[in-house]
Amino acid sequence: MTTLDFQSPTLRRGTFQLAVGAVAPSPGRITVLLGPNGGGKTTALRLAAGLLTPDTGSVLIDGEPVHALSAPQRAARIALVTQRPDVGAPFSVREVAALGRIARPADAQRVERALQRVGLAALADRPYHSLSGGQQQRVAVARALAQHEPGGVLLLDEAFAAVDPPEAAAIVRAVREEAAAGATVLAATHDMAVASAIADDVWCIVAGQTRAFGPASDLLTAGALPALLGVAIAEAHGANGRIAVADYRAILPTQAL
Amino acid sequence: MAAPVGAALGVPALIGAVTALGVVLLLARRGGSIDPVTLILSGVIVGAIASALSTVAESLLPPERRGLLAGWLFGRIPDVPDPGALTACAIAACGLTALAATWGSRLDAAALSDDEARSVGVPLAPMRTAMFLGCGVATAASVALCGPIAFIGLLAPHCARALVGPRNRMLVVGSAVAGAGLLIGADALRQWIDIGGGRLPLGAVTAVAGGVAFLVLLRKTTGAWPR
Repeated sequence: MTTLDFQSPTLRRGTFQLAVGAVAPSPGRITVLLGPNGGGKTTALRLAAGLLTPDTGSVLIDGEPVHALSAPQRAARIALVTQRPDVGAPFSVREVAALGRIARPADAQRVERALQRVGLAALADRPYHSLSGGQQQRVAVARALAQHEPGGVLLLDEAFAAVDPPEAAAIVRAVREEAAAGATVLAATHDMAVASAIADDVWCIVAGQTRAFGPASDLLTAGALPALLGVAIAEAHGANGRIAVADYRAILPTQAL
Repeated sequence: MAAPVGAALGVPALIGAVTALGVVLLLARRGGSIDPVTLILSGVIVGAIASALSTVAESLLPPERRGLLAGWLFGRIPDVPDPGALTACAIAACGLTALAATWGSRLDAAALSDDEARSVGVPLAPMRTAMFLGCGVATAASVALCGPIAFIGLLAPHCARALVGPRNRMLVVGSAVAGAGLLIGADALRQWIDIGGGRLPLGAVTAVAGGVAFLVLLRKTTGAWPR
């Protein structure tokens, strides 16, 4: 299993500074990143993907600084779904999904399987740009699943945004399967229902700093979340035991736990 | 007359092109990598400055030499090409086509957003620099040989894409073949049209025909791809 270790990386960009401290998401578990817009979730994911170099500290993957690895070396261990996937060429859905394998041995079966897992097998020959925004988001997930090696790191930045609940459920199932196979999954989301459905652990980042990191059973509750996110939480109990929904009628002051 | 003109203009043109290439490269680099939008804007601005300098240089020439420069500026296939420029052109064209075909899948992935491209394993910064320098040298060599011939480079990939699809491994080779075909076609058209006082300059034919074709293409594809 691949290990991911944030060793107090700091990064300053203009007036924003990220300093999340020491955090080590566990292999085989899904860590959900929560926090307000501009709080540093995407920056943390880009650091984990090796796309940014920290000013101080480091992010280690299997003990090596991730930003120091070559792009193909990173691709072998880390797959990333970005917040705004984009394709600037008239490729088909299958061709876009297969781009996940360009630095890995070609594997057409894995690409087909990835498309099946996100419910896009029937649209594989369609032009990518003929799809809706939510479907394009699912293609990006399929590309990452085609790239992802069992036991590697899977980074999802709002991968469920604009995706309808049935398709989101398919992605949730696929992500759970990867975690069960040993993947270290870091997923940023604003959707509290999605967070409740997939989180084993919760990492809350506010204003560039870690406000809380721990088991979802402790943090993803109507008691703890309001202090972290500054909004009241209405909690319902569904099939998995809990569904947390932000109650936007009540804005609360945030505080460190 | 072609050989003396080529010999007189080829080397200065090559030096000027390489200088412009270096300036554009310096201007387009941001955070250690080439930014495509800055690259295009820098290229347009440096191109405009270079064009103005060409006009100044032309005005400084003795009147009997201006015609030769004007002929080169319109673009033409020289009857007796300068061997040095021809060799540089052939090496750059063949080498770059082979390199781009080898990097086909990386170039495909470069169509993704920068973060996605890097995450699937594309060494984006060195690849962009290599492609910029390769394309720049190939363009500089061909312009030194033939003068500026408009729109062939813009139209050829679109023609090739219609025939071989969007995957770069085939598209790059197809574009090279399509570019050669378009140039030969434009030269044949130029020789076929008699305007009384001689033949049309090749650059004028490609600019008019290519410009119209490109506008049609733009009209046809706007809104369909890429959004």
